[in-house]
Amino acid sequence: MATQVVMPKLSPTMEEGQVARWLKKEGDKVSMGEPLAEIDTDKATMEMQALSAGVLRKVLIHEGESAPLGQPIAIIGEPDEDISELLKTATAAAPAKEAVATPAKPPESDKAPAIEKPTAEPAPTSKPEPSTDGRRPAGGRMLVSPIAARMAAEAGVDLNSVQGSGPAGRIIKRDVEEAMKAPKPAGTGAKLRPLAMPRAQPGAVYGPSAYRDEPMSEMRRTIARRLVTSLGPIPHFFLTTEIEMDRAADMRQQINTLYPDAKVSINDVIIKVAAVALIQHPQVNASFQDKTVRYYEHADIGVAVATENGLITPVIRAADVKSLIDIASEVRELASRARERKLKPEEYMGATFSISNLGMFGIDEFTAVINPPEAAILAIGAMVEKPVARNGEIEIHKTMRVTMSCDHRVVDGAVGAQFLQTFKQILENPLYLFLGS
Amino acid sequence: MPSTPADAKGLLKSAIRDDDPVIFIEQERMYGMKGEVPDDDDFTIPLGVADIKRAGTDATIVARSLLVPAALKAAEELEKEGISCEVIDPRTIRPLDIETIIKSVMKTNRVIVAEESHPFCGVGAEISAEIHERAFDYLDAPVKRVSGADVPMPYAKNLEQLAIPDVPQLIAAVKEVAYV
Repeated sequence: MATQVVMPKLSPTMEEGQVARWLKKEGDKVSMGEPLAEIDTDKATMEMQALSAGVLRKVLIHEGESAPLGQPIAIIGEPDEDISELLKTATAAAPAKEAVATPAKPPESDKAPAIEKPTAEPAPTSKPEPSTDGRRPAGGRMLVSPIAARMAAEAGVDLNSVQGSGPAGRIIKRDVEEAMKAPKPAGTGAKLRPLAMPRAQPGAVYGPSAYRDEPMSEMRRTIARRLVTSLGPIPHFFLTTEIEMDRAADMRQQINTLYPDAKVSINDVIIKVAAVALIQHPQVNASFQDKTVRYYEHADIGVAVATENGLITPVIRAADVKSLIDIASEVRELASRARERKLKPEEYMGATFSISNLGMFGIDEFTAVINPPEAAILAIGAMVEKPVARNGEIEIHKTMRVTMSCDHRVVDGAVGAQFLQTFKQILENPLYLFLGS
Repeated sequence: MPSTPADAKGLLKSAIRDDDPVIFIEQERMYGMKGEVPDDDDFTIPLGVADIKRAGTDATIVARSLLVPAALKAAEELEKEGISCEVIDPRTIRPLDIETIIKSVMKTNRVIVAEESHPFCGVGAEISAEIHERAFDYLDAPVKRVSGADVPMPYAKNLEQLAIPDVPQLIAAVKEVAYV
């Protein structure tokens, strides 16, 4: 008696199967337990065995087509048996098949060949065509020449942003070269977050910054202990970078043109930028306490001032929320009183970060010693004009070298580097200070 | 497969002096070719060493025999349009100096394999396959073959000319791989 072969459940999570390959042709003899077909499930390709013997009379689901569980996919019977009834029920039982079967195939019909082209092209899904921006060929696949792909990978060029000029939009070497030449925003790498900068309340007086103490992790304690053992009370490490100062210098000049009384110095700009960068990298605006790491809410910037009697660091409280003009006048006022030795203790103690500038002495770069309990100090060198190679051209830029000394107990190399990167990005694009809420 | 009178002398002497049998292929149409030939009776050219006939940066043309002068002519024409071609004559087919070819492809990123023979299963096909295997990551365009047409050589003069690769075909091929 003829029987229907139905799509078997070959994996616990299987809901439908695709016939990968028929191992028997229509008209072939089949014995019970003999492999009949290979079925692709959601997990793997499995062999399906015949559950009845006879002749494979009719293949209902051809190779490359899918059927849900339980749907008839073939009929096995005697060679001369009338299977028209079974065929009818089988096709009736398969209303869902039209939806499941590969739409690219013609509808099932008796004249369908017994053996189909093995695994036809992947079933096209109804997903919309990729955006027709003319950048991608019709297939939606990006075409890239091998060397273009390799160059892009090495240079970190995003091929999605490259317009291919070769045939069918193929991205070729010259396209990647163009993309590499295209100017990038100064200071590449991590993108700056939009600045959400709270503003100082008018008339507000800021005392020492508020803080929160966080318990130190075991790892942090171990790092601290080990580094101290090897390096001394504060294990310093140093990070140096060169910063293009053209825009910052221009900005300062423009401000002073607008407000001649402001007398904003480059150092004031640096203080402001450092404070803003510190808020974005709170791990640097921190201090190593015995059992905790202290993170400060505001950036209180200590500014090293040389006096006859030695070095003192008046503190600009909450420099992150103060305007450049406020910072400038505050620095001027504190520095002059520092030289007269008239600073009160709270005016030169308890900074969260310090800046030391020896640029006025023509020092190109130097390393500063951290002022405990701060976690870092920035040593600013002189701003000089110098030739800078850019895209194979030599340009003259104002540059400045800064070196950050970090307390390795609190600030790891990458953390310090990220802060310095942000600092550099903002200082090279100082307009950033005026963006944000 | 010499491409100049000097190569003909040097390669033939090497072939004769080689202890193994050597098949020496001459292009009949080059018999009348004139050129400087060293007088030295012991002038030989080692088998298996390619000759860079012309250095260039934008595309490599690998050519043998009669197509070497054609490739040099094409390179000259292309130079006027600002395309710099390197022309390499392998001089011997086997041993084949594939290293020199690969080195050049890595430099220029584009390559034309030119030959008068049929394309199917030919020396050009082998060179092309080697390039794909060894320098895939350096290619900016698929390896382009310029060969005789894949037909029995026609007897009619005009058809014969169409079946033999020539300078304009080489120029067009270089422009294709250079995306000009």
